[in-house]
Amino acid sequence: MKARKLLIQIPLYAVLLAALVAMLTPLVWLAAATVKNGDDFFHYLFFPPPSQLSAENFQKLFGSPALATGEVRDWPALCRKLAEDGRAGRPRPAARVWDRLTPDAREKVAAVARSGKIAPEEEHPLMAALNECLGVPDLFHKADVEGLPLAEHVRGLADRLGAGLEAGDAHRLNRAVLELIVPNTVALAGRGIPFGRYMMNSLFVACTSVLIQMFFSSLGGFALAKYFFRGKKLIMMVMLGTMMIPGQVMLAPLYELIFTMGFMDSFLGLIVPGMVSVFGMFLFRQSMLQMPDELLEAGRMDGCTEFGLYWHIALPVSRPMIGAFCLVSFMGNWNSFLWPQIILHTSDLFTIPIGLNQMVGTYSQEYGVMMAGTLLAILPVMILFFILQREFISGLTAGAVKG
Amino acid sequence: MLGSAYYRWQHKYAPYLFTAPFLLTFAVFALYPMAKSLVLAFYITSGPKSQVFVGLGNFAFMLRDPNFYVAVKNTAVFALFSVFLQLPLSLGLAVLLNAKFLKLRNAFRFGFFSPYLLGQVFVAVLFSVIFAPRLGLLNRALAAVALMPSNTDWLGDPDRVMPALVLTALWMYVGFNMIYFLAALQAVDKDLYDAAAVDGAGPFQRFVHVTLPSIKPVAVFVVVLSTIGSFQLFELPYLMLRNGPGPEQAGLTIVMYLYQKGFEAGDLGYASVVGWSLALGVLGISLLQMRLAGTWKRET
Repeated sequence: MKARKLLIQIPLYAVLLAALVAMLTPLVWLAAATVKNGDDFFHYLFFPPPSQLSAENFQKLFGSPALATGEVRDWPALCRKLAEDGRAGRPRPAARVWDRLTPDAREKVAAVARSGKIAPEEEHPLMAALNECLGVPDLFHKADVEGLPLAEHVRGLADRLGAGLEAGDAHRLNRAVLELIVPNTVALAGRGIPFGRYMMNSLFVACTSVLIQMFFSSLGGFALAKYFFRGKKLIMMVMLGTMMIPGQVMLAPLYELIFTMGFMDSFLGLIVPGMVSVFGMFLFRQSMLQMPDELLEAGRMDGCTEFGLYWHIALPVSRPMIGAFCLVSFMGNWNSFLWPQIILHTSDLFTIPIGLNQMVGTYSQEYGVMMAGTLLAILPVMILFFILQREFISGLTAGAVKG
Repeated sequence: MLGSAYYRWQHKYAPYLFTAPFLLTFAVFALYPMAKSLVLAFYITSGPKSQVFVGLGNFAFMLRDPNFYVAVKNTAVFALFSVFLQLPLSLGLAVLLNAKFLKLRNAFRFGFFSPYLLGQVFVAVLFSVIFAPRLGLLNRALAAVALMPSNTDWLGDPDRVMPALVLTALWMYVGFNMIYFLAALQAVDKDLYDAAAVDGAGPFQRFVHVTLPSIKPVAVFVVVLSTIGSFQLFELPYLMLRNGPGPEQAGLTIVMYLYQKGFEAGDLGYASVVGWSLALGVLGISLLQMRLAGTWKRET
């Protein structure tokens, strides 16, 4: 008998373990990818040895972008200084650029400027000088990565300087640098991945939505569970119908409506249309149905208002449902992509999914940074799930099994 | 103390006040848009401001647009794999997890379920890297066991895009659907098994004649839910294929088609037509599924 039991148990555990490994491997790989930099991503399939662990990917997410790795740690500050100098008419940076140009390079700049032709792939001497004087190696390469045509600007600069570039032209060069390059580098420096910003945006939108949805949905669910009133049946049918019809039908006119209301490119456009969750109303109705009517009657005897009954009795009684709905609603808001993608245009307002997608476009080759962003993006839901696990599973299956 | 007139008033109107937020938002953000999309469907629009009446022109154009059929085909193939590959695997896992003597059941359950928590957007970003040529996990794993060279471009090859999508969705949703099956299995009346055993039914017969009929309502629910979800597929391919339909439109889905036409090209009227086609199609398929399962009568 025991041998037979083992005969079933061993393959059972083997299959389950294999499935578990298959499910968890991508997650482990994700975690490993976040702590490897550059080449190590390829050298090690999973985690590198402890000495090779690196926080670079996370630094890139929160520090200023690719530039943070250069000699100049405080790149935004430097750029601000350059811009201020420019506005104040101080010729500091460009004069230094000119000084850094070797006679050879000056000759080359002048020659290139005279001919007016620069091969696109050619490394311009001006670039090298700028690189050096700003203390940012690879400035132009990084600008390229950022999608900023800085090299184009330098070539344009050489064109504008025209022929006969002499030592006395430092002033012209200076002005050109200030006019063309500095604003662009400032833009570049300011354009780091505002990942912290995305996180805060997402947290704000998700938490606000969850609170509003929870209040209105539980209030509606309470009415549907504990009152008899005209139109109740109609409301229930309408709710069922809403759940059957895919939301994409309304996408276009809803966009039009939000546009007319002036909620475009604002959090209002994300929060307001979803203030009441039909799913939530069903969920709360389900749990409040089981609440004995005597409780409410006792409350009424004591002179409690109807809202008081909801607030002091019905809501506390359905605590498990609050947990379940919290998680479902938070997940829905946190992971929402299509609607924010339509509504939000300013990168300062981007939520995590939109911001991460944007980032993937820019850093398509920097897998480590992408994975670090992804890991941070999934953490809040994971943490919430650990806290609310029990409520969540029961809430998820409540409608299916009992209903 | 509150006046008794107020007390009577609030008692009488409480249910209406409590459902008012729902009714209001429903009217403004669901009923009105739905009616409006019926109207919009007859117009060609350019952004939210300009409109030209075209009657059934949008509909006719859609039926003549080969891309629409590509989108429908891709979405349907994806839905078929969801129902016929993913759900049986979910059920299988649930049956295994339901074994009486199993230890660590909750740990397994959480492990299988966890990918669902990531959400489609982040799963898509993760798997776009997993499927990457040379550096990606899948290629390196396959190369390690010498099945394939490591430079297979899964998401760049039209023939491999759909398998990649199906595999990703399988990873993400198999545990999610398993939860439903497991809950249903745990709710099956144990006496039925005993009775069947007394009648001499083997494990397989018990599964077919006791388990399956008992979990049928949940199974139908999961099939319908899974089909509806599959037809709304968007984020997974859109992000995995770098904000587009992929090579030779191999990852174009109906919702992505709607998004392209409505919001990238700016024709909200056309998007409404596509939206209604999707809604009616999904509704039809769901009803058909429930009908086939014979639960239609019980649902109404």
